Amino acid sequence: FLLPAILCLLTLLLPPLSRGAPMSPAERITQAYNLALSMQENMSTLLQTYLQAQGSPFSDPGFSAPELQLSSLPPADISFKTWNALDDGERLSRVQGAFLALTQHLQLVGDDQRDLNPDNPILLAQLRDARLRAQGMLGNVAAIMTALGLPNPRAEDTLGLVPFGASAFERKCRGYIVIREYGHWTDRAVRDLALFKAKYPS
Amino acid sequence: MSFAQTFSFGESRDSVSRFGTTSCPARPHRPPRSLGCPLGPAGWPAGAAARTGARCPAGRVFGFHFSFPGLAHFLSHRTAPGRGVQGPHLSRVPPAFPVDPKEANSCGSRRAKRAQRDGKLQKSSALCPPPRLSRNSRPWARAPQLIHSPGAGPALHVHTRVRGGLAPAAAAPPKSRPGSRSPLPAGKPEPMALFAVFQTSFLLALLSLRAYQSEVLVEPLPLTPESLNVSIDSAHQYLNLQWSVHSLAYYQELKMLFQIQISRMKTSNVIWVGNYSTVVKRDPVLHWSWKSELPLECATHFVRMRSRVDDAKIPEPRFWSNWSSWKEADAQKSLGRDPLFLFPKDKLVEEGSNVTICYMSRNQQDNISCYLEGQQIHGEQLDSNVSAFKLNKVSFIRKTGTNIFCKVDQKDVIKGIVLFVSKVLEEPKDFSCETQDFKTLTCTWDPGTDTSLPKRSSQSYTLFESFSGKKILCEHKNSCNWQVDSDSQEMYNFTLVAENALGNRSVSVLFSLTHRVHPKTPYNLFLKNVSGTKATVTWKVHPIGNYSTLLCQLDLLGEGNVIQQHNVSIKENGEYLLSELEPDTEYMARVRCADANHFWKWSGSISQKFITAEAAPSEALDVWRNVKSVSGRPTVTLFWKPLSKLHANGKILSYNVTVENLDRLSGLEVHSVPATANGTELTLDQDSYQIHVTALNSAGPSPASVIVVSGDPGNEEVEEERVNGTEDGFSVSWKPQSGKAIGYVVEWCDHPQDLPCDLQWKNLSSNTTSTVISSGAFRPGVRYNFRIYEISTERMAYLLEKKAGYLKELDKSACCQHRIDNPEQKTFVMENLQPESVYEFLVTPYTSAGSGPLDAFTKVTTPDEYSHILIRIILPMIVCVLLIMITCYLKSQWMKEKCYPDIPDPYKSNVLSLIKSKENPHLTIMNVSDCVPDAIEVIHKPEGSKIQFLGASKSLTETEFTKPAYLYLLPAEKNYSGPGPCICFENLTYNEAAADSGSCGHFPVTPEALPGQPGPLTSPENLLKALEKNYMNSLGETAAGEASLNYVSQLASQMSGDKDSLPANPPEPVLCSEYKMQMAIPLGLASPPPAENSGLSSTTPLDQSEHYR
Repeated sequence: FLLPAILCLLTLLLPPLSRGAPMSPAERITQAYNLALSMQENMSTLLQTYLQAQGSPFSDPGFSAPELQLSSLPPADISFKTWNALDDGERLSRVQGAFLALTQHLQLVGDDQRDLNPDNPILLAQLRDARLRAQGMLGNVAAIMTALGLPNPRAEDTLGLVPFGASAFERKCRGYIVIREYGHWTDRAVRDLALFKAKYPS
Repeated sequence: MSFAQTFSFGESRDSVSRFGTTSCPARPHRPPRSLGCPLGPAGWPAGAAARTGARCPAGRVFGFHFSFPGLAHFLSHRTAPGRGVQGPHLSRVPPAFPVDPKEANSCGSRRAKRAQRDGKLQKSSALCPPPRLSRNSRPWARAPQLIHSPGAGPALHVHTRVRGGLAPAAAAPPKSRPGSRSPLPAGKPEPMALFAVFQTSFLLALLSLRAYQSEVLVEPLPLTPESLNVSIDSAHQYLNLQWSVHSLAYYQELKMLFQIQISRMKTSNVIWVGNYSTVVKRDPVLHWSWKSELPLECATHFVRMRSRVDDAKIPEPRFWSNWSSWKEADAQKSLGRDPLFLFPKDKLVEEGSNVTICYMSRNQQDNISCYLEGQQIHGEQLDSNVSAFKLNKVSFIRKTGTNIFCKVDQKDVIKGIVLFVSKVLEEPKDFSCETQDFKTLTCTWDPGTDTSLPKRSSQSYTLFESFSGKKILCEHKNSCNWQVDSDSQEMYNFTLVAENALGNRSVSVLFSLTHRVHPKTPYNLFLKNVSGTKATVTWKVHPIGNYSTLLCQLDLLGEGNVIQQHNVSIKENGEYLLSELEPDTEYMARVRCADANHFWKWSGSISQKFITAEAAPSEALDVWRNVKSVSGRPTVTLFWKPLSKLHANGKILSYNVTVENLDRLSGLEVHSVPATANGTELTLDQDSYQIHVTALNSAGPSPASVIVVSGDPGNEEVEEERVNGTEDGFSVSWKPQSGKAIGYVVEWCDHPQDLPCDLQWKNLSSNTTSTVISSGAFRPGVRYNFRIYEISTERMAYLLEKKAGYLKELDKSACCQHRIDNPEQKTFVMENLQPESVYEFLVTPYTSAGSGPLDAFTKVTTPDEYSHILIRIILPMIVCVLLIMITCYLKSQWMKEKCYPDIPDPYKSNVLSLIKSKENPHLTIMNVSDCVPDAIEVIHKPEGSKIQFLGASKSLTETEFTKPAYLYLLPAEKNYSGPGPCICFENLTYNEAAADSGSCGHFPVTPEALPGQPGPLTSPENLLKALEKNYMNSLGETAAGEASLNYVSQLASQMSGDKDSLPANPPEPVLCSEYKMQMAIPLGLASPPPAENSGLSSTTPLDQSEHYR
């Protein structure tokens, strides 16, 4: 089942190959929105698979550790007032920045899990899929920004200095935070893109 | 000195007492080799030195003497007796020794042995307690003092140790500075007398100086460990120690003992003491490591050490140096500012081992709880903010590690570690080596549990052969190939070492190569010259060496079982003739081989199937006949049973039937019957015939089966006897008649009711007179006939007896077997059954081969014979009664007139007119009533509650409403149009009549009516009065336009307050009860809401509709 999933993701990743009429902003928004929805659907499965593979306390029922944070990941939490007041450019650039960071962090988590859970191909595949989806979202948001004529900020290394000497437990925690934040940002992206869909109807 | 030796010791405070200093070294006195001078043949280096003094640099010799009094001691021992040097030899003074020499020797030797066993580390024991050295004692200061005189070669030194204050006052001691170089030349033996004088005087001075020496001499000790440096290896929890020892000026190397103390938290808290023995070379930097059970990050550790020469070159006694200063190892400083730390991180341990983990919190107030895989663990508090958990015998949970985490209560802080528990590395099992060709040895083993963990490789295997000294790393986890170099090596001693990150296990095997030969599987197995009973097997084997012989095992298998087994010794080509085979039978030949000289293992086996050739059938057919007369000619039907596979010896192609007339000479008549037939029919005449029947296959005919038949059917009139069936079948017995019988045949039919009846027979020997006939075809309730024939010597069959019987008689009614020929038919009607009888039936399918298995019988009871008769009687009766009833109903008027005519009306009586006209013109008939009251509903209203009189749109309060105790309703006058409200009360006496008369009057109600009128309320007047007030009250709530309504009053007594317990009798009105009238409203004005209806359910809708009339 992996191959179709990868192909499907690649189609989302790649810009449309048709040399015909370029996609309208509305089409791009719809495409990104659909991707965000599919990411949302896979979110809980990924988190559950991840937590189950880490052992107690992660695999304990109802595990949640909201206090665990990563400074290198922008928080998805935002007050409604602030969120509502964001202009198009700011809104999209925040999503883009978040998914840029998430892409890099998911790569890190995938590497960590290849060390810690090498015998769990399902988890590794789901992490890889999540990273590809995050990259797809990144490309989609950039395309929307271009289509709307918004300035596209340059990609940068958000991960910064990774503590490669992190212990196994720290890496397990780190993976949990990244996947959790990936979920939060996916939720936020769905809302953001729903806003854009309404604003730029096809 | 570059090696760093690592020792691991259990941490215990006990170790302080156990590991003391070594106090009683006893070393054999050997000449110091490092002296640089050749030793004399007699082993007297002093003398030799004296003699060869010119060749030995004196300064060096004496310099050494000065530096190391031990050598002087050695010299004194050797010189004094040997050279006759006279004088006091204080070394013999017993009190001078702190330890008894014998004990010292014994301890020393014991300790030396232990040192050999344990490595270089030495520990003290209770048997060999450490010396009690004061902190300021300086062993060297109390070391034997050296006496020397210029020019006198041999030096006598005395080592002593005087306890107490026995020593006289002494002059200043000579400072024998270790390491200082004496300018004196090498001594000579001539001035011994002078030396003795000096010695005596010096000794006296020496003795007097002891106290002074112990207090005053402050000489730096050259061998005290210097530059002690302690570092932490967090990954392995090692304290790495590095130090140096200087001033080994005159030795290339020197064996030294270092005593190390380790404290935790504070210097006074010594947790470990141990010794480390090593050979120190010039300007060495020494290393040593200590493994901590407690993670080093959780506590500060302190280390100090001291040293002692422990070399045979230096005679006893030897003394400890001063302790070095404490060095601190603190890993906490490098930690961050997190509120909680947990150690050790990512530790790898073997299953079943003990692990100590610890946490360290920054805040002492925090309440911290720790969990191992969800289970809380409890530890020991080491400090106000440090706790340690000792996990005993950790178990393997999963390859990805065991999580241990701690969290600060009330705070969102989680810290954890992962403990990687590896499965215990097992010793390889079933380790053995063998060769197939003397070129390669293949060693195999069972590796046991896989100990691999993520990112940590599994165990590796190394094969080591001790005779050749070769070693290879095995590529596989369970096998290894070893190349046999030449024929020269016969014996092999292999050691297989399994190794992983935590340890190794090994197993050895010693064998001779020729005893481990496992030949290759034979090849080219062929069958030659296969006849019906014999076959030749040939095969080849791979040669093993030049001289070896193989023992091969040849198995002959038939139908999977080994029938024959033969052992054949061969070199390269094998051959064997198999015999005693059955014709036309499939066999399998199987060959495997092993070394004939030293059996080790069978090779793999090779097999080949083959089928032997056919042979003529080995047995005659079992033939029987049935003679009957068709159209006056005897017709013989021959039956035979097919030959078994064992006797057919091949495929039967046909049967030959040869008929020979015994009465007349005529040619043989030969009939060929196809192989599929089991019999044939011959039409003969009245002559006797001998019939030969043979079966033919490709190899020839079977022996003939002979039977003689005659046209004369013989005596058929034999009385039939009864035979009883049993579970096993029919037990048939007979009486021999002629006594010349060669055998008997019992004949019967398996299906006597069918045609053909499936004739069966059984051959019996001549000495048999009874047999049990059994057949799977026998069925209960079927009569079977048995005929017993005697076979004469002429092969003629004569009927002997007849028997008949049932296998099991099915009661008396066992009679009926119905054959249903239509397979589609699914129903069958049994007729003419008896009533009130139990029948059992079963249905079983059949084919041309016979009927199927018999199931259980199903029981059916036929009904009573009279029940249907009863129904025939009762039904018409019921119909008749019904008809009569309907007729009566339809003709009710007629019936009424006939049965109960109306009572004559007095008004219409003829008598009336007669009286009226003749006697009394005023006479009238009494009117029943002038005014017929309306219906009265009487309800009881409990005390303290009110029933509201409701308007058109209001409903009664259900909870307070009580069911009317009784109710009489009369229709109100519809067309009454009197002014004002009118109430019509039920006249209890005349209600029926009133209803009929339809003259209900409506009384106008006046406000003056009295409420609660006492007295009987049985009359309408009283009732009216009693109800007036309430009516008026309620009237106030009604609209004025409702004045022309009819009213219904309800009355209930207090007794009937509980609506669930309605009195059976009408209630009697109770004094002081409150009564209210219920108003009836016209239909056109309003209709009550449905809720009202439900609330008034007890009054029924009928009542309401009556009210509204």
